[in-house]
Amino acid sequence: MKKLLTFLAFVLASGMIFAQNSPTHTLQSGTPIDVLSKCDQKLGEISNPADGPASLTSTRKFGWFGNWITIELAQQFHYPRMVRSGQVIEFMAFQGTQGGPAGEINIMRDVSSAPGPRIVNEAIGSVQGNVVYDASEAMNAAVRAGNDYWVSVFNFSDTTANIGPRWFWTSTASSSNNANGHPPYYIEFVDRDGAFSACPRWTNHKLCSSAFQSGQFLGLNYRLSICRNASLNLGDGVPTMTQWGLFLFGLIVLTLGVVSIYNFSRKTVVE
Amino acid sequence: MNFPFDREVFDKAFWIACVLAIFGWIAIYLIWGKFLVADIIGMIITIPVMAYLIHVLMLIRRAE
Repeated sequence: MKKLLTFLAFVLASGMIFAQNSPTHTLQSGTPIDVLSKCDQKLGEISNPADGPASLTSTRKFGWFGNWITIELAQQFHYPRMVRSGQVIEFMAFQGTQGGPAGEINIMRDVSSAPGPRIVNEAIGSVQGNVVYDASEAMNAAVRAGNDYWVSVFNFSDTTANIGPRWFWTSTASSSNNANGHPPYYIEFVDRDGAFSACPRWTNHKLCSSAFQSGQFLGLNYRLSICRNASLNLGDGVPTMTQWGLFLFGLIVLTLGVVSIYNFSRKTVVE
Repeated sequence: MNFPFDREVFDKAFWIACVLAIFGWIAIYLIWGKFLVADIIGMIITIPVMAYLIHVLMLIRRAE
């Protein structure tokens, strides 16, 4: 009997090897668009307020007396981790003035407090006045909470007309110097006709400020809304049993039931 | 709980369980088209338990 109990204990313990983690959701291509960016619970917003003294051009190929100039601005932002799983970006908003019907948003990795490789590039249609960008699946799949990124928004003008349409990104006074930990914004400045000294793609604005806002250590405003998507469970899986585990469990329960019936019938016979 | 055990009956039941295991392997292959390590381990544990269940059923039948 002792051997049999030991054997059953062994069988039950062995069943543990069939325990497995339930599959976790992964962010794979082909995930429905409305899945990732779903907002079930607002977690908060972070922002650089639009309280700066100026608005700065962020426009690709805007006309400049028969030529064109490109000035694209990028602002660093921190995407904080607010919950353990299911966190998504709901939208980003940028205050600005003027602009045109075509524009883009870029998200870049932060490399040593400067814009690094581009991880999101999306056409967002009209970049005119205040811009609200509803975060796409691609964006939420690309960014990870707890990291720093850079965002650039620009209007695409593509004209050589005299001072063609431009979008002006409103600056902020809240990140106006390095002392408080916020790096200044970065600039790509391409000058087609050489009237100005252009800057290489992503140059610290302090080193590329001859064309505009010389000497002002400004940042650019943004508003980042963060949500929780309840359908995303990226935490640890709950242990579940495999088919073999379930089968064995059922078999052992059945065996114990049959043994009980046998014992009961024997007891009845003895009585 | 009293666990009945009759060596002679268990031996018979064990062979019946082995035959059932062969059908089990065929069923696994027909349904999933392949065998996994879990199938081997699962079968090794299942056969003696199934044999003991059959053995108890045979004891009940004999008692009747």
